[in-house]
Order: sequence, then C-alpha cells, then structure tokens
Amino acid sequence: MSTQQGHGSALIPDAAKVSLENLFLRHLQESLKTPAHGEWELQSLDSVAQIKAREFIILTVSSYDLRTFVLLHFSQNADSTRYVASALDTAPTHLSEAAFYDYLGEVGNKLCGAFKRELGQVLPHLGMSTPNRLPHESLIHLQNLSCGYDTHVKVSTPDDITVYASLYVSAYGKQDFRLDDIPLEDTQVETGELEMF
Amino acid sequence: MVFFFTLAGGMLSGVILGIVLVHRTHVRRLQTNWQTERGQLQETIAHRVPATELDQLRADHHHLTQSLVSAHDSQMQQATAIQNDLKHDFDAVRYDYEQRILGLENLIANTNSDLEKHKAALKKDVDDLLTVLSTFQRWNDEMSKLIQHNRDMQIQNSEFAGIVKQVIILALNAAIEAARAGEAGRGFAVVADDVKLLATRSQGFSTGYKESLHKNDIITAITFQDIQASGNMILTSVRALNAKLDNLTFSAPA
Repeated sequence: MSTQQGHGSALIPDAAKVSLENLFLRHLQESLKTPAHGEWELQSLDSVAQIKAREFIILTVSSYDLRTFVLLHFSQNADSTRYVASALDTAPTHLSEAAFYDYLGEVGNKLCGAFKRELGQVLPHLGMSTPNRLPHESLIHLQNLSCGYDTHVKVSTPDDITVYASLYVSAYGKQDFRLDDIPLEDTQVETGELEMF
Repeated sequence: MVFFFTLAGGMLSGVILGIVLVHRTHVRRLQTNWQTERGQLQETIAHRVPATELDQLRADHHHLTQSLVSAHDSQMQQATAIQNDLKHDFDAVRYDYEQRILGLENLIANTNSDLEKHKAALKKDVDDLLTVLSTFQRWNDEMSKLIQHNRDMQIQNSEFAGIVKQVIILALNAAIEAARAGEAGRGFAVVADDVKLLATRSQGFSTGYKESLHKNDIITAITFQDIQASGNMILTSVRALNAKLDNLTFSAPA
C-alpha cells in the first residue's frame, strides 16, 4: 500500500496505519461482493497516479481528533455497468444513470458504515457523512491537502471489472493517534504473499 | 550322751529363739496398728466442733445470709433504676433519630422535586438542541446545491473554453486572410494578432478556472462532509444523552 505522512496533522503510528488499512480492505471486499461477483482481488498501488478512473465517490468519518476519507474510484463504462446491472438483477441496457450512481453510492455507504462501526468500537463519538460524487480531476487537490496517511488499492474481479479505492486519514489530537485495540485479521493482497495485519 | 544333750539343748535354744522372734514381730504389728488408729481418732476429734461454736456458726451464717439478701435486693433495685434510665435514653435517642430521618426524607423529597424540575428543563434544552441539529439537514441540501452549482460552472467553463478555442482558430484564419491581402490587410493582421493574443490569454484563464473549480469541488465536499459527519456525531451523542435523561429517575426513599 502507498502510505504518506503529510503536514499539519498529528503523527499516526505505523501500527495504527496497519490497523486502519486492515479494517478498510476487509470491508472493501465485503462491500463490493454480489452474488455474481463474490471474489475481488486486491492489488496495492504505489501512488495515487496509478488510479485510472474518471470519477470517485467520497465519504467522511469524523471524530473529535480524527478525520478519514473513504473513496471509491470508477468509470462509467461497459464493465462497471455490467457489474451494477447484475447486482441490481437487471439488464445493462435497462440500467439508468441514476440507478448506476445510486448503487455505487450505496456501496460507498456500506463500506464507510462498516468501517465506522468497527472503528467506533475503539474510538467513541464518530459521525459519518453522506456520499458525494466528484470528477477524478479533483483528486489531485485532495492529495495536496494536509493528510497524515493515505493508501490506495486496485480491486478487480476475474471478469475484468475494476474499481479503485483510497483511504485518507488525518489525526488532530494533541497526542499521537493510537488504535491498538482493533482486532488483527489477515487480508489477501496481490503481492505474491499473504500480508499479515 | 553329752552329744545328745548338747544337740537337744541347741534345738531347744533354736525353738526358743524362734518363738521370741515371732513374738517381736507380732508386737511390732500391733504397735503399728495402734499408732494408725490413734492418728485416725485424733483426726476425728480435731474435726468435731463444739456445740457452742456450732450455735455461733449458725448465727453467723444467718446473719451473713440476711446481708446477702439485702445486698441482692439493693442491687436489683439499682439495676431496675439503670434499666429505666436506659429505656428513657433509648426512647429519647429513637425519637431524635426519627425526627432526623423525617427531616432527611423531606429534604430528599424536596431535592427530588428540584431535580425533576432541572431534568425537565434539561430535557427541553436537549429537545431544542435536537431541533437545532436538524439544520444539518438544511446544510446538506444547500451543500448539494453548491456542488451541483460547481458542476454547472464546469459545464459553462467548458463551453467558454470551446468558444475561446474557436476564437483562436478564427484569429488564425483572419491572420492568414490578412496576409493574403498583402499591404491592404496589414492593419487587419494586427487586429487578428491582438484577438489571438486575447483568446490565448482567455484560454489560460479558462484552464486555471477549471482547476480552481475542481479544487473548489473537493474543498467544498470534504468541508461539508466533515460538518455533516461531525453533526451526526453530535446528534448521536445528544440522542444518547436524551435517552439517559429519559431513564433518569429520582425515587423517594423506601
């Protein structure tokens, strides 16, 4: 995964980064799963520049001293339309644009909601936003904002449906952000080996 | 013969000696028994009280008994008096504590009444706060409009960029036509160059404006989302507080 330490935010220890990434990836796979597309392969990206998508859905989880952005990047094309249509049990030709974006917004909601729920077990007082859809060109400006940690991943199915996901975390507490109590589990990432979190 | 008499005399002497020894032993046993019996008799005599002393002892005993009964009666009277005093003290203390408990119960009742009033006021404040927090929904709606407005501005900017591009092409064409006109078109060529220069600057501004709109999009979205998420966080906390207030009861003492 790509990780960066930005300016203007409290230090996020490596252990907390690993825990956050673990949570994010686990719920990402679960959120994308449908009866027709149950297996999603994760591939870590070295840089945000490797994301090939035209737009993204963004959601925020906020606390007193923490802000996280959950992003789901995609392009509206034949493959993504096929994925959404099968999830909604309809024909791709019958899928409206509104239904397409609503479904992906719901995937973002599901991902962010699950992420927030589990994070809430160790960090009380969390709140979550509704999703917004923005053009990919906006992403570079998010990258330039102060952020303590970010990670990006490519997610694809065996039949070539591809989306991307990103997690940005900023901590604002006076003390270093700690997240030691999140349970550790394994997440399969395509790097030729099992990454232990 | 002599031997016979000597032997007989010896035997007689032995017999006599035996008799003497037996007698001495018997006498010693009798002496011992006598001494034992005498000791017993002396001890018996020693324990016998004379009749005069016995009467005196009886009188003393009676006197002592009377004294003891009198002392017992006196002590019983004292004990009864102490018991009465204690009962009186106990009743006084009990009355005092009953009065204090009654006072405390009244105090608790008044305190509970005050707490109920404060709880009702706090509940109203929390309800008002929940109403205030409903403005988050309004912000949400307005922010969605702002994002849509940004999107519309992007479309307008794209149209503007398209027009500028056409103006540049027109300026190029004008410059070509001016060149064809030769000396007569020299003035027109200057105008075409100026138009092209202005159009190129407009194109630069349009590109910068496009970037600014993208940046505005993300800043608007994350700022709004942070407000919305924090609002939800506050809303959740206030609702939890409200639920705790609902469950808070001030019961009277049993």
